[in-house]
Amino acid sequence: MPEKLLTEMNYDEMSSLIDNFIDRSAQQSGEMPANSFFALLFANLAQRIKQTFEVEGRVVNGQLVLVQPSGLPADFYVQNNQIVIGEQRIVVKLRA
Amino acid sequence: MSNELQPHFLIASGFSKEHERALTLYLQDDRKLSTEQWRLLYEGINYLDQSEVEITGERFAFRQLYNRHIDQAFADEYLEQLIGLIEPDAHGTTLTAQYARKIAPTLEQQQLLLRNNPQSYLLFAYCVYWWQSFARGYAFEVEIKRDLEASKIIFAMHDVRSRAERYSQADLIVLDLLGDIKTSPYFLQESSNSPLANDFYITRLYEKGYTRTLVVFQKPSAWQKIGGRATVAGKLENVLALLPQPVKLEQAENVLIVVEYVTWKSLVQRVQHKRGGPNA
Repeated sequence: MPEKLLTEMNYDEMSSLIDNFIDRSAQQSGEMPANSFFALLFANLAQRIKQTFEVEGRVVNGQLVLVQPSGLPADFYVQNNQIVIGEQRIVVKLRA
Repeated sequence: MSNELQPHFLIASGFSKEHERALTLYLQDDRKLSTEQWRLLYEGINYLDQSEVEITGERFAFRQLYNRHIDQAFADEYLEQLIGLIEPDAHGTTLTAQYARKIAPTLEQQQLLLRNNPQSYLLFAYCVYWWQSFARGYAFEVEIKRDLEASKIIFAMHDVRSRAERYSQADLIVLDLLGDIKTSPYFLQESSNSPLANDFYITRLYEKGYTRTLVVFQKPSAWQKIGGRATVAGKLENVLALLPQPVKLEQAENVLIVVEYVTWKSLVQRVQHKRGGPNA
């Protein structure tokens, strides 16, 4: 644990801490340990995504045709290039 | 300078001593951070994103100040120099540090880093954090781009020199799959604000007893698309130890397949070869 927090340091202590961080990071590439990385990644996913549906699509005569996946809730549906979720509609447009 | 002209720092109320402790420890030695401290670090940085500085009656978010005084001043020049390096990942860290050393004088010149105002140290640390994340991330991305080219993999990639393209959802497209290339801390900071939108992600991790490892983690649909087959079930603690076998990580309803970068490349090459790509 650090003895002093950043805002408890005087200017020279803080400056020295950050200078050393910059010097040290010039020798490193800044990775995370795998277990912490995946633990936090899954925690983020669990917080944000309650359910995932994958929608597949094909281009037919230059038009995007999305395929309705099975198991969608009643207020979700997919039609041609549109995904409707409740009162929201997503229109997917292809660009050349 | 009179007091009314001194900037007034408004740190978001959610930013606690524990967040500051994690930030201080990160600056001292990031290899000492526990998983919980990493979480606090990302949360703390998100609170600092919302923090503001009031200057002569006008408020500016930390993010705005970073964009104006650091990103807009240094990012394009840094990326041009980075692309010119023979080994961007190896020498990019030195280049990153050269620019990071410009942050303190820049903030001091703008009266945003003040000897007598410890809250201004938080803005300085925030700017250094984001600069290091940004710069290391792009050094890694440029290195991967060169490796994919050398491996004759067919891919489309955004141009990092274009500010607009840097904000695109995906960094690259391979076999119609959307992918991202990021250092692990940068990736996790970003993912704390937005869901896992792309099909696959290239990053670098380490585990005790193992040197750092380039990995690709992907959704099961992306794994199937590159012809991936059997996997072994992994736990958070042993992912890297199980490699080079493809590892399936599952928590709640979220599933990710983790493979070594070289394994992923060889599978992509095989699919592209079958389709008559440049490896044929």
